[in-house]
Amino acid sequence: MTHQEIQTVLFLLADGALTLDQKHQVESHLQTCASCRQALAQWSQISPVLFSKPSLSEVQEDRLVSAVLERIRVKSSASRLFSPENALRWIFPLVGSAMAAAWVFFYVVPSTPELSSLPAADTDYYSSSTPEAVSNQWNAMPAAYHEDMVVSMIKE
Amino acid sequence: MGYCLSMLHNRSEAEEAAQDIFTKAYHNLKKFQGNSSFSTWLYRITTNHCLDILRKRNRRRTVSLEALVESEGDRIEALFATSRTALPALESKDLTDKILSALPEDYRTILTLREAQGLEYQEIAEILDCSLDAVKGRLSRARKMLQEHLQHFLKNENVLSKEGDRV
Repeated sequence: MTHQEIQTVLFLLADGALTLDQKHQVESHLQTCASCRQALAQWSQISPVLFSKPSLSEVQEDRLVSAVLERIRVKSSASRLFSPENALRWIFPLVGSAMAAAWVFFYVVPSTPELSSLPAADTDYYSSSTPEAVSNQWNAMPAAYHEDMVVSMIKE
Repeated sequence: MGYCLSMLHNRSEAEEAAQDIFTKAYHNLKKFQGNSSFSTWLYRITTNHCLDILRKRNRRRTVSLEALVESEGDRIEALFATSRTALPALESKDLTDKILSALPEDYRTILTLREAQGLEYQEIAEILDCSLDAVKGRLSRARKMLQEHLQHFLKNENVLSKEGDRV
């Protein structure tokens, strides 16, 4: 092998990655070539400085394990909630509740005179946006409604 | 996490990356087909993840090795000097990261796998999904590149005075 060819495989010598024949050729070349010897010696200075294997303490490893387990637990519980078999557990109650609410608003309330004949000011109260408008509507309402509304708000 | 730290040279980033990688690996376990060893599979995920982070980081700052050697010569000399003049640990870590960031990413990866992790060529070939010859060639070129750029800052050991030297 020429000097140039040796240079392409020189650094593999220390890794034991050369064939027996290549190894003999490189070793005999090193006997006579100072620049190749120097290159190898310099690499042995570079490697430990740039590529030292970082050491991890037991505490760091434990912290990593708990952090990973926590992430897995959180992600798994979130994905379990939306899995097809678990979705049935909350979809049916949700749909049922929505239907019950719709039944109350569209059937029970219109068919009950006491609930459906509230004065206009009562419904306007919720749709008013400015504080003055709300205050005016509140004052215009009969006093008996004030008490009822406060009690119902507290109960809610 | 040691590999993440070797690749990223930043403890908090490495911790975050290791957590992401293990979580990702756990949720993708069914994709592991057993064609390679489990550690090779995990190394492959880790390499890709760390390279993504490095690419994002390098978008902000990319300095060539030549430019770095020119601008940071004194500090690089101190990095390789004896303990008397050596740099403080934090500065060394920062400079080491700068030198490695100046390498092409495939050189940095293969050198970290071999030098810091001590993996065999065959395992490196499986992780990087390339041939054994490609590993040998890339490793040789990466070492040569570093050695050529840093040789002026290294001690000249007594290697030049052998009898029968051609040079």
